[in-house]
Amino acid sequence: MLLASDPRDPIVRQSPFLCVRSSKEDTVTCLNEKLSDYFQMGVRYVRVLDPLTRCSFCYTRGDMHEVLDGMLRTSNPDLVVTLQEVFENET
Amino acid sequence: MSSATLVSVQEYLAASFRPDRDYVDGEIQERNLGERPHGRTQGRLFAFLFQREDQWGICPIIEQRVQVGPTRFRVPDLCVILASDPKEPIVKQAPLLCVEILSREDTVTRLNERISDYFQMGVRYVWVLDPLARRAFCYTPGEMHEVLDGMLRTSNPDITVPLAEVLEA
Repeated sequence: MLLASDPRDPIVRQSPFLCVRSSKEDTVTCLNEKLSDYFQMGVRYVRVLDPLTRCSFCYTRGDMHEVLDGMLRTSNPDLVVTLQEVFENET
Repeated sequence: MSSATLVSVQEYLAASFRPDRDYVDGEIQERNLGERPHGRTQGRLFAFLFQREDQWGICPIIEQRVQVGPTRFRVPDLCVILASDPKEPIVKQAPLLCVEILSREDTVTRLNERISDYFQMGVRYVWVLDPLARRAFCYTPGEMHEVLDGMLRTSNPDITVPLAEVLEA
């Protein structure tokens, strides 16, 4: 997710505000490599959603916490997304 | 939906596997291991802890069956119980620490399920070591941080393991 004020390049070269990944079938090593790439680029927020277990994890550089209150949040801008809406009808 | 054949707890406990397998609500699940980076990391960590078990009052065990729930058994690559904990054939009291060493094929979902089982049982620390990427991650309930200062730690007892001692050069 970019900010509306970010450049409208065909290929994103400025770090997105937020990256979201579905971890379904990802290996741990592969996911960790992707997360490292995002943070080295300057991405502020990374969310990893596991549709199988319906768990969600918030990553910042070097740290992670599981979303236990059912709400995905960011600051500046303040986004709030309920996990229930995200996982609805997912099998 | 899983198509695995379901077996009873009694059948699982009476069976032996090489290498040992997890038992999750009737399903026997294979564990990914067998390659050098996994085996060497496991052995080096065990050796480091074993040499200090009297000092720290701990008992490290390799591939110990841990009953994490009535119908769930996990086999962590290494677990650490306290020296004062019961000496049972199958660990039923939450270990202080469980360690998972990643193999190429380990998926995020499977790892998260295992970690969730450990914490629901009452395990205080889970270390996840990636010998191929030479990275380590320390999990506590609901949180994780990457080990960036090169030291794996627990509190009470205060265990400190230099990552460089564990990962083969």
